Amino acid sequence: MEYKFTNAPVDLDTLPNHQELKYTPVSKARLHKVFSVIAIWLLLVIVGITVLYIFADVPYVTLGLSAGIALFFALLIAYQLALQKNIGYALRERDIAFKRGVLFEKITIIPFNRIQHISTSVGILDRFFKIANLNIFTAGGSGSDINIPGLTPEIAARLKDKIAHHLTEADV
Amino acid sequence: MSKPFETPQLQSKLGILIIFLSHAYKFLRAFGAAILYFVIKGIPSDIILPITLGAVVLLALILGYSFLAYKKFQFYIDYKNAEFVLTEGVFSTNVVAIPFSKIQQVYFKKSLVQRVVGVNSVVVDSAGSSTQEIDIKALTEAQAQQLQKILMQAVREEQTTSSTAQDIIHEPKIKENQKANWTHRLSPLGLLKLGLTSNYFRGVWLILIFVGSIYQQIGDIEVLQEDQYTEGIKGYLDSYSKPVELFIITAIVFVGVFLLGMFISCVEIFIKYFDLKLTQTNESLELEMGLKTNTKVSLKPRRVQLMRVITNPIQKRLNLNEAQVALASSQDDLNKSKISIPGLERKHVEQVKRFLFSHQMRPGRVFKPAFILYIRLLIIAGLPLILTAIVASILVPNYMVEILSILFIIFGMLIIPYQYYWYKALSLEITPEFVIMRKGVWNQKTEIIESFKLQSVTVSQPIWYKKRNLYNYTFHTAGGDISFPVTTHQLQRYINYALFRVEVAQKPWM
Repeated sequence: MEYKFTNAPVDLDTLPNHQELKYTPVSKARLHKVFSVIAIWLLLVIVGITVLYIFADVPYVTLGLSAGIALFFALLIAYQLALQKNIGYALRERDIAFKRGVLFEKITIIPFNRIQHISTSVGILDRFFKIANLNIFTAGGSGSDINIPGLTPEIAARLKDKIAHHLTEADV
Repeated sequence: MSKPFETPQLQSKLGILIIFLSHAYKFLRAFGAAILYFVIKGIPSDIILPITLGAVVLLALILGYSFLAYKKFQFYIDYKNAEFVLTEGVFSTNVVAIPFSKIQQVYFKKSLVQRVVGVNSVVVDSAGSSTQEIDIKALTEAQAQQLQKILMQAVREEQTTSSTAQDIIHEPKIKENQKANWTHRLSPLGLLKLGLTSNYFRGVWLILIFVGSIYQQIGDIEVLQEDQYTEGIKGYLDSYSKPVELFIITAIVFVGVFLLGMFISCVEIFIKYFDLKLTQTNESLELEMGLKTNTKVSLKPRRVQLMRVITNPIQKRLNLNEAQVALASSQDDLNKSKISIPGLERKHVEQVKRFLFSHQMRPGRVFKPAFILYIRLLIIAGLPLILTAIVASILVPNYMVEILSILFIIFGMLIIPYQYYWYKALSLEITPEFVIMRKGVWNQKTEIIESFKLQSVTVSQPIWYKKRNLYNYTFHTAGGDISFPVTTHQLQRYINYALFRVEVAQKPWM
């Protein structure tokens, strides 16, 4: 196959704009998983404070500690709720975009013809909540890779297939 | 007749010596503190015999181990599976197989020991992680040449058959020994110029590390002794605690450390870049340099992911520029495959650029960060000062006026202008084929990426920039990232453009 070199001028305004992308949110199950992890930690901390209260009750310390921890967990839950709304992916014909972050919104876009490999990973808790992570690797180091959490296994598999399909198409 | 290197090969017999020396050196280093102790204190006569005996037995064991390691270290070319295979390991067997298609480059290396013994290292570099790298430490010159030639040949054939990319197909057609188009050499005088104008902080830093490690080694022994040593220093300092003398001593120490840093920088540059020779042939840039470890690298344009040109005002006047080139590498070690070529004239920098990049530089649109970045830089740089003021107000409330005025002078005279110039120097240019970032007040850096070699882009926006419509942009390549902070949303169109360049690219990026 002969590669023909052309270099026609490009009108920037006619290029597809990534800012107009509509992002698909990830499964609610991700939130359930995160909340269950938070619940387990909360339980452990409550047990810890109770033990402290029983064996060494210094006035106000337990109270202050409880208030601080309650605030911390409230913020954590609020953050995760906001994050859930802000995680999303968008698939285009030639690339995939991934958005995440609450205070720092971050969008990474990987063209299909730069993807090295794709994998799905499922942790123990993921299995329980029936979700999977989709990992997309490039040669550009960890800042350049994306890891989409909280996908249903079917969607993860379908995305993987779709991107892998594009991969071969782009290679040939 | 079988093909060369088809059967498992051993290294040159001298390899035993190399392995032995490197292991013996390791032991020497491990027992460094103890040996130093014995040298200073003298060996107590009653344990001379067991110690000598122990050392002899140890050396014999190392020798035996070296022999086994030599015997077990075998490499061969598996033509059927198109792989280069290495088996090694005395107690456990370790097999490393690098497919031809993953071989990045094959080059020679020579350390001082290897030079004395008269052997070469052949390094087979792969695109994978650092464990996927083979270093054959002891081959004779002839063996090394042959292995390199055959491997590169095999790699080339493999890549030709497996890829349709145009520039690879043409590669084998180029004749084996081509004429050099131009050559750049760095003379001792050039090295001296470079050493005197380079960054001394590195030299000072090296001194600190050196002193630190010596101190620690001594400290290990010190446990056995009383701490009269530290007492001595304290007394010494006490007797000199008059302010003027203390000031003079501090000044002398500072100047001394500065001069020593300068000297060490010079020596380091001499060792690293001794006899630097850069030759451009039709196909590649050949780089050879180094006194202690002589490295030979051959740069192919296709492998280059990011190029950086560094200079400072003095070096600019002397027409000295450093070109750094980052190749595709594993993610955990981006610095490993960075190649520095110092002391280049501007003319040669342009030649290197022309050779490495497939397009001419054309002017593009230049972006500057928003002014709010300057404010942010000032705040971040001011934080330590505010902290100092707070700590001082608690510790020495009587001297607040003096301390505050010193801090204000630092802020007003150093930080405000420095950050201003830093902010002014920062710019991003997007040309049709390149992304170029310029930065730095003293060390002026220009980083260049070919757009089609981008891996991905990241756009991030802290919530407090939302109203102003400002974003941070990062361009990822396989040789490092270019990050550009706090810039107008206008740049977004060029993000679309960069993605477009990548997505229509047919050329292999690596």
